[in-house]
Amino acid sequence: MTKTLGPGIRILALDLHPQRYGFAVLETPANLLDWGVRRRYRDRGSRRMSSIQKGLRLLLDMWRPSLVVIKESSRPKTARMRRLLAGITRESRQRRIPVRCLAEQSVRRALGDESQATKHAMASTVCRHFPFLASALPSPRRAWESEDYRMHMFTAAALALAGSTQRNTANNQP
Amino acid sequence: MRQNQKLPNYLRAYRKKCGFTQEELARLAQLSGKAELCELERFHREPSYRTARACAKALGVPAPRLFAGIEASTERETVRRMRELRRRLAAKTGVAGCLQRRIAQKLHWLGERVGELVPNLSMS
Repeated sequence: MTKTLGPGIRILALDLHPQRYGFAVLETPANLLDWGVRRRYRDRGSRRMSSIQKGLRLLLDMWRPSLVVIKESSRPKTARMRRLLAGITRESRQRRIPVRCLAEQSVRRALGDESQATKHAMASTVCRHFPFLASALPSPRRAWESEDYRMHMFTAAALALAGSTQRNTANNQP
Repeated sequence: MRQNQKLPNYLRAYRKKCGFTQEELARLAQLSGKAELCELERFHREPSYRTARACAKALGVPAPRLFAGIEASTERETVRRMRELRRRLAAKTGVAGCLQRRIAQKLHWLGERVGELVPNLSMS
């Protein structure tokens, strides 16, 4: 059973990656306030991690969200991802903001179509909710191409939409 | 889950929805440059009346909605000050004639205005 969060609640959704992150800030019911992708290719190693964490801190301070939503990854593949997840959880806890992890399946369910096979299809659904994002939607990825960096932004927007519908189960902290 | 207070302004959200860059909106709003707009968007400073009106016109959003947080806080502060003034005026006793009538007129006006503004405050 799902229900929608009340109006005026700000959600910060993050799609994290060791080198970059997509973010979306949504004010319920469906007002997208900010979105984008931050890339840190120039910095290396721990410097990159600290600059990513600094960027995330800025987002938390600027938008003062009531909820942070991140994509669930039960086993982060790299130590950097583990550090990044731990960092964002720590920063959120310091500000008394709950962190909610959502599995990709529940994001697809919240968007209303569980049969969507690709990320591009999910991004197209996001564009139906927020038509002004359509200009940033990359063309479908071909098998030999790597994923467009802008997809992180659409994943984050999908996470934010899913985060605004609250399941009756308890919030889970990573 | 706690409901958030309104943000001081929603310039960044509406600007990005329109597709304008900071530089373009800064030019439209007669600001000196994008750094000034950036400061407004990050809530580091509040806009002048002229800038607020120009942004509202350029983005096609009513100014009270674009600057919802500033609007709400101004209203709250004004109501607080009006109540304070009403208390001060009501405490003035022992005056007679013309002055008494003027105080009564002010109290009547303040009572009406506070009555009008308070329902708006509870909604925002």
